[in-house]
Amino acid sequence: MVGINRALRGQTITNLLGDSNLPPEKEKELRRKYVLRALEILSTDVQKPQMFSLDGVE
Amino acid sequence: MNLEIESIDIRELKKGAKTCVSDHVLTVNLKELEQVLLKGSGCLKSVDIHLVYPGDSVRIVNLMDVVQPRCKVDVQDAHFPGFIGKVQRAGVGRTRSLRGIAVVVANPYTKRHYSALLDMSGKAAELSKYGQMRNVVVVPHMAEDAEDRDFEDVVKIAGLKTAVYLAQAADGHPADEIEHFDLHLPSLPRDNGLPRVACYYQLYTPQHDYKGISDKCFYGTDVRNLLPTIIHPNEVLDGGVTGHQTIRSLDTYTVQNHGVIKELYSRHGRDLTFCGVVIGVANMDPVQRQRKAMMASGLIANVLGADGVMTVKAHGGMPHVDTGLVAEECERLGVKTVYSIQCLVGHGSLAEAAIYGSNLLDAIVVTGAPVEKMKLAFKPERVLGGTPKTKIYHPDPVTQLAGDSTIEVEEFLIAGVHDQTGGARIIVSEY
Amino acid sequence: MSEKKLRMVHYLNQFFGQIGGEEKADVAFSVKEGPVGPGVLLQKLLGEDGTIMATIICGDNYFAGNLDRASEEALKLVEPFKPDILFAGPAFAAGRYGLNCGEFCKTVGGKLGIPAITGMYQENPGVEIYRKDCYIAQTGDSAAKMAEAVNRMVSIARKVISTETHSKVLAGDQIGKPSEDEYFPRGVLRNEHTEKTAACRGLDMLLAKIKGQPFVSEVVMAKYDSIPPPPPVKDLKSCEVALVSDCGLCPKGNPHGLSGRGNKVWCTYETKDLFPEKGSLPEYEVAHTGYYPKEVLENPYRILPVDIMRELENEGIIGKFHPTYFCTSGNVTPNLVCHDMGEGIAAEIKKRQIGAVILTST
Repeated sequence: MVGINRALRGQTITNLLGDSNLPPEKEKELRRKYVLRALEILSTDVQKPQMFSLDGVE
Repeated sequence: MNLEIESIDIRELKKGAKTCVSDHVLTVNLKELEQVLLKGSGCLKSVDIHLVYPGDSVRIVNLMDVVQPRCKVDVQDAHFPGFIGKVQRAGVGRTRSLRGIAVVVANPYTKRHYSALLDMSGKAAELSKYGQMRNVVVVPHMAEDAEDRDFEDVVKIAGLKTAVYLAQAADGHPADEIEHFDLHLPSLPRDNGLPRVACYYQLYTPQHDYKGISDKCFYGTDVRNLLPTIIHPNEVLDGGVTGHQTIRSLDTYTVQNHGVIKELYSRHGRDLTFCGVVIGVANMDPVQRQRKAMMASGLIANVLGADGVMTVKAHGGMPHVDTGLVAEECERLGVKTVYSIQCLVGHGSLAEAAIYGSNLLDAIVVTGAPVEKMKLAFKPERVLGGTPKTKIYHPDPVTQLAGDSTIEVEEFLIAGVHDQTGGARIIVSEY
Repeated sequence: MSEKKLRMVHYLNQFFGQIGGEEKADVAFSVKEGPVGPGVLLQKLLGEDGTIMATIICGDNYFAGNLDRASEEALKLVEPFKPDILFAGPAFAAGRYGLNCGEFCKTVGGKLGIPAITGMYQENPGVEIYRKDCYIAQTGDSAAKMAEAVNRMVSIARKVISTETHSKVLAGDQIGKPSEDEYFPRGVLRNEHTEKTAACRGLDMLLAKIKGQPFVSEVVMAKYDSIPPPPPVKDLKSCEVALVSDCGLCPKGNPHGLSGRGNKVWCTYETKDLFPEKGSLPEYEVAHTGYYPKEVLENPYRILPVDIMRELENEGIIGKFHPTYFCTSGNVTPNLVCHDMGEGIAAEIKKRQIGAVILTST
């Protein structure tokens, strides 16, 4: 990946942090999960470009 | 599976009282064709049909498809199966094909972001293979209460029906060429020393679906959720697969003459063994994309037993990444891969234009730089499929209209110039 | 070659224009009829095909001291001659002269809409800056190689003005290839007619690859510099976090003129205005043609999680949610442009002492 050291895999192109099949409250929960994961990754030391997912590392 | 395509060269096109082909002259009863197209379709109010010739001062806009006139000769109800004919396997038996004629289909009600165009005169006509042909232009008009996305599908079918109608008119006319597409996968020789080569054909991408509805491009079905699968190459050549409703260098005519598939056939038994085709669809969801890449590469390596594969993609950046993943997975399974791409920017170096890369993707072919802009200094006397005020796409902030004396268009919008299936004699160089 | 005798104007500095050396570097513009200095050789090689109507001479310091003023003056002096083509230099390795030749070609050639040709040595700073804006013939590093330099400039000119079709580009304009005509690549990708179809070339390449024979890929991937990962955030509770995105979501009307494809612009919007906490959300549009924007337009938080960021700030999980959204559109934007935009945004982020960024991308 060009220049990216911390990357988090999102849901899909047209809905990065959500899922339109979910009811709005559930979708918001998912979105919060993604943001918290992003913040977690920002607080994580990385030595080289790393692709993360909601649950772990790719 | 054995397919015979008998081709008849059409040297003249005219309108007349009886639709027929005689002595390489195709005569079309326009009224009768309109009646055929109106039959059974509530969406259509009327259909305009125009005959256009190379050199005409005509620009056709709002293009949705271009189709080569073809019909099945020996099997009932088998023309474009699933689209018009009943669902049955395409690619067997005998098909009649007319050369030198294209059915050009326009949707004057389109709300798509951009559509293709075709000029019959000037630079665009010189470069387009359809600009050199005599064409039957089909422009359906929408009934008042019709829904525009449904109408789009009906327009597409009208193009296919026209293709069949014209080809049927040549019944009894001697063929100028007969081509055989004979490939029986189960009995392919395995010890003749020839490498086994497959084609991965990404036949659709849903990222531009109008109203989120995919084009029905595979036996009349929407393939958005299609898992990668093996089909016989004849099914692609013989009407099982159609082009994209915004064309983007992948109209039905192009699919019917699929560049990589035909090239593989021409080399089969000589310097390679054509061992099959895997089709797939570009996925927007990254997990589905990864699963697709795993499955497609598995089919190519472990079922078709390919030594090598060439990938074919639809227009766009996501399709580029998507086929790249398939190509990488193939390489990981020991299948040598050639990855075909386009440059989606007009400047920089070729290396910068390849938006997805990895060490595994070391054999890349560029089919073209489809967004290169071309100035067309051609003011048409007639505009078909729209009006002289129809907007012709140009990135902001320029606005240009079909009747302007000069327009600037990105090349992929000119039907018949670029070819996603690799059939055009175009290469991209750094200048 | 063209039958019409083409009109040409040549730009030189004070030295090659035979006014004087470094001591005359401050002289203002002067115009001489016909060719001067290296222009004489230029005219000789052009022969009957073109006439150098005039030579525009200017001191290197005068030009370099104020590029805008110099280009304006140059344009006014050149215009009356109604040239079809411009020449400048060659500048060889001379940095100031090279930059001035490049600026002359770019501005005057650009305003008049005519081709402009100059010559420089590969290390001349003018090459990287101006090679996209004019034809820069590759030259040696000094005037000892004048004849070769002028020959190349003429050869480029002949192609550009030729009426015979020699070029293979689909668009039909007459242009020679950098490797053939020895000029620096202008960073343009052109479609060319060629003998073999892409399918044929691809299978040739594939068969060679399978057999372990050498092959030449049409694209050799660029090697990117790795960027050392910044250290992690020590304490989120005291960190200010900003949102950046390339999704192209902006207020309806797209006031900053983001382009849906090949965009080169970034801008900022205050979150309190674009995503007000109370009342209804304003109308948005998505300036990005690479994805179907319906879901994002239904709920912009799906790509810009402003609602969550505000919650987390209130809960004290992050120190502060930066009140500005950094907005751009990333659809088929060339790497170098992305690089420039990224640098611009990063500089602003640093200036505002923001501690961390979440960048959302479609």
